[in-house]
Amino acid sequence: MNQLGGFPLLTLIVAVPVLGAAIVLFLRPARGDTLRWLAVLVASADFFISLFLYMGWVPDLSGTVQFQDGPWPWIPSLGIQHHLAIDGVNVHLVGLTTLLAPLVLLAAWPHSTSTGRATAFWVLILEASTLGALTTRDLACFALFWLTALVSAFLLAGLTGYPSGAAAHYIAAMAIAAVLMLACLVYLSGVRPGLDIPNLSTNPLPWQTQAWLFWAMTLAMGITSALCPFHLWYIDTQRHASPPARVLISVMLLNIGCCGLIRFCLPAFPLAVTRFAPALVLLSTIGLAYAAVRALGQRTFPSALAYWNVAQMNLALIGIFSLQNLGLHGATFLIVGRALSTAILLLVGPTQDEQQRVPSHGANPHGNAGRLVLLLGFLSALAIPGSVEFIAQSTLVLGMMRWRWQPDNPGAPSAVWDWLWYALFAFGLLVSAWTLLRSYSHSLPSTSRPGTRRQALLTVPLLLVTLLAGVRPSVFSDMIGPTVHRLLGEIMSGLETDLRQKAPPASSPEEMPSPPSDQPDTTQWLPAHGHPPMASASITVLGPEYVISCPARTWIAPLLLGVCPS
Amino acid sequence: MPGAHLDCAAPLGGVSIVTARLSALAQPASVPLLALLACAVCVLLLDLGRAPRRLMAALSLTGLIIAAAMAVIVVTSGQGGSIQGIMSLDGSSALFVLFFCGVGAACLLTEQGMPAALGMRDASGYALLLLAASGSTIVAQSNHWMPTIIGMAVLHVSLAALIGSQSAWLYVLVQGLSQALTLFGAVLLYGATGTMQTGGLLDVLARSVPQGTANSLAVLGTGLVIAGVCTSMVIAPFHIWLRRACRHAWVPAGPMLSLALPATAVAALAHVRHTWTAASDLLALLGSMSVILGYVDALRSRSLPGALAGVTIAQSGCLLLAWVAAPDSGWVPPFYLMGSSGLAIVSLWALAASVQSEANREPAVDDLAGLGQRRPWLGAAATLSLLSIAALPPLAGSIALLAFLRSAAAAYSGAVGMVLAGVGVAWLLTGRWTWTMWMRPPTDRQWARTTPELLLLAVLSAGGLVLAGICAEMLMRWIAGLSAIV
Repeated sequence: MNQLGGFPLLTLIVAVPVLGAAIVLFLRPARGDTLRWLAVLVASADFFISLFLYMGWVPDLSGTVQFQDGPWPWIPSLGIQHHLAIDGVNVHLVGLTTLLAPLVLLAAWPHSTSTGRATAFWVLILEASTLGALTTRDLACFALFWLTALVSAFLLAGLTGYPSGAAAHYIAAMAIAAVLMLACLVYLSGVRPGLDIPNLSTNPLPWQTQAWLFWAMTLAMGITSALCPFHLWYIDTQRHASPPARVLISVMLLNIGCCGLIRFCLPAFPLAVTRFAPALVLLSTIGLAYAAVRALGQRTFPSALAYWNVAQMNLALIGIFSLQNLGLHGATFLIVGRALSTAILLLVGPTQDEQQRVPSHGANPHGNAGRLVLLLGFLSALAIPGSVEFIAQSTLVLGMMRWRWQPDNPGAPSAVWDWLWYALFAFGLLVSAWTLLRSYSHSLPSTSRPGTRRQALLTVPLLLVTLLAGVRPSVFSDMIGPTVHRLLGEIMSGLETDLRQKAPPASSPEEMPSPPSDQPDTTQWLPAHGHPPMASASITVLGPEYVISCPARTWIAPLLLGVCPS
Repeated sequence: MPGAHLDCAAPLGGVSIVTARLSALAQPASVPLLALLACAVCVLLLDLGRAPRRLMAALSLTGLIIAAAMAVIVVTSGQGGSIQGIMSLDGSSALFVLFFCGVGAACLLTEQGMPAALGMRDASGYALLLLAASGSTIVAQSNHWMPTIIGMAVLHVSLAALIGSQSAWLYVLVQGLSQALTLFGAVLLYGATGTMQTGGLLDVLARSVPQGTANSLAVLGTGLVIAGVCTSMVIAPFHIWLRRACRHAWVPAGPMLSLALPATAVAALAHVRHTWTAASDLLALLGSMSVILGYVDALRSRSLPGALAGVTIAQSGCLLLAWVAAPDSGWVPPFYLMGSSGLAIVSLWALAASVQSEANREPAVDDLAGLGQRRPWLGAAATLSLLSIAALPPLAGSIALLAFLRSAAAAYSGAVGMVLAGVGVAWLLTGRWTWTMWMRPPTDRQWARTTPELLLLAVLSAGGLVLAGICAEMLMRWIAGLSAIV
């Protein structure tokens, strides 16, 4: 639906930074300050326009997408159309992106004396492409915006020079991701009338096809989200890139990856999602633990924070592929919370060079604004009550406590696996928290560097959003909830459609045939009455089943974190 | 020899047919060819009178523009058609003529943008350029083996003279072999079908050979033609010569070598792809192999023209696969691909011409270091061209790739997979060059002045890639409408 009577608000939000970038490009380089102010003005205007998304948001329990632009055919012969819309998950990512762009432009001021025009241009292009990727409903357009974001982030990161090794990692990651996405596009454009989400999610593809398409797209998005073991490019970027690039890559690129997974992978390939979700949860848990341990071994703040981000992204993936309301809720909060904490810490925290110049345990008598903001940033990242990270991690952990390895197989040693998995999961979370504490003590001495006060002031809006989401999570979860319900409903309807296609037309539910052995048994999710089993299945969908009846062991991880789930 | 009794006089009188029917050339369908030849003659006459070089360049450019415009006008006004059964001007051949004239114009602009010391040594070069375009036009319009082979010969001789002494011998040697293979294959096909006409080759084969049996003579003939044409088209494994030829070639002739040659070969190959049922599979395999090998070659190369040779090989592979898959999806994807790769490669050759500052020094990829700081517009144009090759939407290269791979995916899934792997290597190439241009500090070497002509060519080509991508649907419809005119 479009509550503005067809006014293309989302198109405007995407177009404003592009227009700003075009003006910056053609402005004379001598006008350095004018140029920077113009870029900040454009980015701020975009932020204020994006506020209309919140102001005009219609509380809708069905989770229908809102502010819909299109679909308008672009290349009909290839099934590509311009179709923008947002749901309760993406609206927050859009808001975060538009909020961050002007702050980063202001923060980049001292770093971009010689590259002012290029910095402004690429920041605006990156913002526009991120907004496009977050709002588009067409897979081809998503690929367009996503790849543009990757390329512009690469060029932004290299403005102040980029070592060949780091560049090679980035380029290799970009190449693999691009090819995987292109393979999906080529196949899907051949078998689907259109490449937008409704066309992709109706009439699920055969199981084998779904499997390889799912893995291709998940890998492409996993690389973009810097999931372990595809995180090397991200670590290198955080070590060597210019400061604005570090913030924007950490927030925008990683968010695009998660958005792609939630928005396109889940509804388009329901059979593959349900089949491979446990494997992905296991891989992500291993990735979480590995990244947390690696973060502990880092000597510089940017590297440690980069590994912490990798761990957090793995945690978000666990929530996404838990395929549960709480898990997806938590993942969404985590994506937003992680982005906010990372932006605060990167804006105020020391860079690689600064930390090398300042002794780790030197005296720092200045109780300045930078120190305070750094402390608040770390506390937020540590998920103290009152921060968005707290809501994210507690929701996600609680959601995961309902998750079982083999829910409908009584013979399987599920308890052992559950315990092992919980142990690994809790280990990853604990080590992540430890890493943050260690990083804080090491980075504190360099917070009194010149310009920290100004940077600290810039983070105030981010801190306010963190606090708002932590204290009043219902503001956000009321928007997220229906979308998550709808998403899981789409997965379920995909499974049901597949089941109907397999079943003979006249058969009764009791005579429903079992699928061939080489295909996933989707019937396990669906009892005879056609609704998912609420108590034991991995997918607990649709309906107000927020009442949590978990055994004692599910309290362990929250307790270890110092979090009270009640 | 089955079917040999059908038209025994045809092969013996092949040349005489062409000479005896010269009077038939005075038809609307032959106007593009005549315009090119007339301009070439005028340029030669002006050269005798020591006219200014700029005038000859302008005259050549005018000839190319007239030929292209006339081809489209004649076809759209319905005045095209057959020239005594050996040549014709239909929608497809008009698109080819448009492409060849565009490539010729790009060569002219590149030459005009080079420093005087690196420009054309002899004004007759303009005539050679027009002759090369004429040769390609003859092949595109031919319906008969003789004009096809004559057109190829005109193109090769002109190009050999254009690219310069150091690599001309290699070029002549390779293309001589290619011509011999093509001619011998055509003779064998004549033996199998009894006709030198290429239009109805499939029908004749179907009539003369019982259903389901293989005609060994036709298979051998087709195989030889494919080998010969693939050599011209720089398709793997017949591609090794191009790198050396490009490295030593005169840079302004580069677009002709990279674009006109493969496109002309494709036009020739279109005659035989139905005469052997396994030919399509073989061609798809060769095309996809070329994509990977070409991009790997480009990635490894330190020489700029050498890398462009690799890109040419890869793009030729894509073009071949698009052509093979065309009957399932119409002729739009191959023509669109031809245009998009043409724009990208022209832009990259303009970059190579800008970097070259000395006559005997080969431009290297390392010379691009710091280009983004020194020549931002040129760097941006080159980056866009590379990104188009790497299929970044919405640049024309990505739309072309999506269009032809989509149609080829069902029948040639293995080949499509190999092309996608090749695109991955293209991303690596793009990343490497982009990093060199924008992130490496500038080298100390003296840069040649980037002339307005080269900058215009590079920026126009890159802008064309963006526009062609955004307006892809409109362009595709126009191509579909024009190519449907028979």
